[in-house]
Amino acid sequence: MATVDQKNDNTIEDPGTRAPLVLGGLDYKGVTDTVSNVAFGEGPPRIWYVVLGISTLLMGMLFGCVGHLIMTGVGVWGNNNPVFWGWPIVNFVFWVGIGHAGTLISAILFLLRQNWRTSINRAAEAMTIFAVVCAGLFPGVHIGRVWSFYWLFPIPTEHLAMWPNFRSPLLWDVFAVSTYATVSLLFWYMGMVPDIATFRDRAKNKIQRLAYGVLSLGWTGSARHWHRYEMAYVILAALATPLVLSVHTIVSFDFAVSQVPGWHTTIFPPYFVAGAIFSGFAMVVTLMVPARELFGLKNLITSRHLENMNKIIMATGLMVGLAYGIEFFIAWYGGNPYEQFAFVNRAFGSYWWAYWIMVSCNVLIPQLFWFKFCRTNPWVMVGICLFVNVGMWFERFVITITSLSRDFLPSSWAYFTPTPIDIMMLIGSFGLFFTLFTLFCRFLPMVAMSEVKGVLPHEEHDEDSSGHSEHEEA
Amino acid sequence: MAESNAINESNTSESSEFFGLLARYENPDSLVNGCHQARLAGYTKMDAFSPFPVHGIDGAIGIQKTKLPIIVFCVALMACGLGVFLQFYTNGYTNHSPIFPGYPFKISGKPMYSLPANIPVIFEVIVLLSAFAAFFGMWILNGLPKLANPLFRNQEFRRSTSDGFFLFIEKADGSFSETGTRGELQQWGAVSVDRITAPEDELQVPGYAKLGILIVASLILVPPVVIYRAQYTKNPLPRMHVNPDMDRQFRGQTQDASPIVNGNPLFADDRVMRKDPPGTIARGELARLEDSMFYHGVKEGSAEMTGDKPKDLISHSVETADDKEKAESQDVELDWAEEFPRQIKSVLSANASGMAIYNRGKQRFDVYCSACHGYAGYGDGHVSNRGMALNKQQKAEWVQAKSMFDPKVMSQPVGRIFDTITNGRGAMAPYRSQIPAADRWAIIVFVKSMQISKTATEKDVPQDARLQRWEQVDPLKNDQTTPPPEAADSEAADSEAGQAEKNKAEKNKAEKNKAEKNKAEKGKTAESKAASPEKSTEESSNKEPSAESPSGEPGN
Repeated sequence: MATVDQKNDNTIEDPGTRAPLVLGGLDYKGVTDTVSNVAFGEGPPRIWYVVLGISTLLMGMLFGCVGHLIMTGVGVWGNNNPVFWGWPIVNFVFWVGIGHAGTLISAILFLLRQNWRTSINRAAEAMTIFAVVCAGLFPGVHIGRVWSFYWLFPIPTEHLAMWPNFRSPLLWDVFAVSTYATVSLLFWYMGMVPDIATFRDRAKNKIQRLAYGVLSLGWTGSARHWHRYEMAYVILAALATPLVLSVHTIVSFDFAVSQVPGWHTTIFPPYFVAGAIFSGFAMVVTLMVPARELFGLKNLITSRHLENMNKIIMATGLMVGLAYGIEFFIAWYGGNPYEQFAFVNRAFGSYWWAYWIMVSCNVLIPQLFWFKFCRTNPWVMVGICLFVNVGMWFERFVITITSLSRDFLPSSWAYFTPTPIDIMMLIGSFGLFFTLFTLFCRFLPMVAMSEVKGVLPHEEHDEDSSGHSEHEEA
Repeated sequence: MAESNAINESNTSESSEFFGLLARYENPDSLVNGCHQARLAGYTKMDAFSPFPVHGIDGAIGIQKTKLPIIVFCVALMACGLGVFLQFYTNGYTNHSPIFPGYPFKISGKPMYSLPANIPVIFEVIVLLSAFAAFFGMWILNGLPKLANPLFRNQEFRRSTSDGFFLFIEKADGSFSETGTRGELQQWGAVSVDRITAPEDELQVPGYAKLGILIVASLILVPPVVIYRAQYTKNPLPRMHVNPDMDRQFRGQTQDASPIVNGNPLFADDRVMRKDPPGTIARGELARLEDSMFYHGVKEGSAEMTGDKPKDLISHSVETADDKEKAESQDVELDWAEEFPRQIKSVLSANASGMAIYNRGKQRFDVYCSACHGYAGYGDGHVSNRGMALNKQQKAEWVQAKSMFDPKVMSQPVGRIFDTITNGRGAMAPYRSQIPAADRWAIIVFVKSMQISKTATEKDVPQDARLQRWEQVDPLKNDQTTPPPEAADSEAADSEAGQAEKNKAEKNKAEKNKAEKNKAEKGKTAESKAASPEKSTEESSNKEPSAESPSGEPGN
């Protein structure tokens, strides 16, 4: 059996050798045991129950608010004239953006042969699914008459005798987000089937055997199956890569195709995509650091994984900062007085506080990741990532609210104030997200075991021994 | 390992079916080697199992490259076509098929079908359907889901999803012999070799499961059948509303009492309907206030028009008086317009449009006025005649409709007539809601023409028309030496006159043309067609050339 005996620190860069992806000398069985232990071990730590309990309560609050909203109408939100898109759209863009990191890790890093993705892609993809669920909720209830939601789709109905307007970015959004949710779900589930089969074969009781048995579809690990499976995986990755870019591009079209000053800019698609990856990676780190501690996955999700993600966070944070600067430059250079006003108003108008929270959290604080200590210390990185999450929420707030509240007609200017329902729904959406994620951690394979095993060094190979000796020296 | 083999084999009973031999290897490399050797030995019906895709095994075991990419590509092409067609059909194309017709959106003056705006949806449709093709195609090609597999009965095989590497050679293979193959597998590096068996009865789906599946499948069919039935059956009940919030709205209905809020009516006057706030003017009403000539028949700047009283009701008091006769005598007299407002005057001055407004007025007169006032304006319409007949039998107290040629009416300025039509007089109801102001003026043009015809002299006839027609042709002229055999109003006299003129071809021709013309212009009401050629056209041809002929007669 392959026994990989490495030192615990794989963040040390050593030219000429590849740092090991898995620590603790885990072999195939070790990987299986480590991951299965979460589901079949002596039960989850007590904190898991606490988190699940709080999340479920918050989720209940969310559904209560949704029920209240459906019975009463969208007037329970603070949306006013002219801020027709208030927090619901802010939350929608925020959650969709969070989801993007999962697809990036599972699809783009796969196509780029970044093997370190294998330890984190499963949890990141799960995060994508749950974030898209949270995202879809807000425009879903924002349509007012939720029971007529099917009018969004081109369904031939004789009594309606109407079709959607295919030139509207909002319709593109329906197609993009629903396609994204579907493809992400297929990708996530397909990647999980071999690991569910592992769980099936280690199930302890009949219920587990039945549930995992049905979910694993009778997977055996046949070489013929693996052959087609790998091909399907590559195809799905190749489809998901342009898809993930298109989704946030189309979300940005919701804004950019309109003519509101501050929205009508061509920089929006790349700027939104960079921001989405930025916020998504911050959420992955926020989730992974506690999860690897609680479920004993530190040998699989190593410091090096976290450090890599922090580097991506810093890179995308700089892109977002550049976009903020370019927006101001173009507003000045373009010479459009409305555009100029919109941006000056963002920074120094009545929402100046939101703008500067955004800049501090998204541009200034991530600069700490230039220091290796900050990239590898779990407390510091979680702190920074929380700031990034806050900052990215405020970015969407600034874009949506400041532009709408100061449109072309000064007589219609108004200040947006959220209602308690707004605030409870935002908090509740985190409850929904964490409920789903906590249940996922407990009951489904949190690490893609088959993929990690595929990138483990074979025993008695050069790579293994040389890596070993390098780290002895270091 | 030998122990587990023994256990496995001891479990197999006589009724078990034997499938083949399962060999376990220590690591991926030895598995690849084992597969390679087996293939060289001529085995074809075999498969390798591993917890992760092992590189090099495809060639070692002889796996053909999958057709999945081709399938996905074909689906992607079809999805592209579907995306284009969907948007073209639904937004850019008008058809009149009874079911699911297209619904063209005309937006911002752009072409009905413009590709650039459709690219995002085309792209998403391609990605979605291709992903479905890849996902479901992979499972279908793999023959999954397949929950029952004899391999799962082997305890050792469970390691295939953790750290076990297996090679399974089927009994059905041509080169297979149980002892020989077992020996070969061990020779090629297998750690252990197991027989794969399964009891035959367990390979069948149990009866209760079949029944359950049948019941569930039948129940699933119920909702679609109910929905399909609802599609074509008629239901007298109103449509069910999921949320009836639109059925019960917090608003007052027209003419309702004011809603009660906290024990008090919402509005002090206890009405739901609100008056205009003082000083406001409803949309489209500004002209009505400013143009008193056109809308009220009152001279510009007249004192009566300056108050805030509703202007349509200036002379309205006559309607509400109990005694109609008295009310008429007490009539409100305002500073009535003596001539047509400028909008009408400018139209009248042109030949063609002047004739058009005259015809319009005549047609409207026939529709609204003739019932009482008669087609010729003598106050002898059918309704009035019937009323007078009832008067004679003491069954009614009908007031004879005014003749247009009553001296009092003849002397009224146009503004006064306009007010009569607008607000009514005596027994006559107001017609402001039925007849728009411009049509009221057109009617007055026609009425005035009729009145002029009563007193017209030769001088009123245009010079050219007189030369062409009347001096040569008309024997009925007052100043002619031979008095005509006439009684102007009587039909008999008219027909006599007509006969007297029969020898004059020109006159006949003109008469005929004019009658046709009048018919054509008269509008659609049957009465007017039937009545007016006899009375009004002959009358006017006899007596009022100036009014009727400005454009018509010279043309003849």
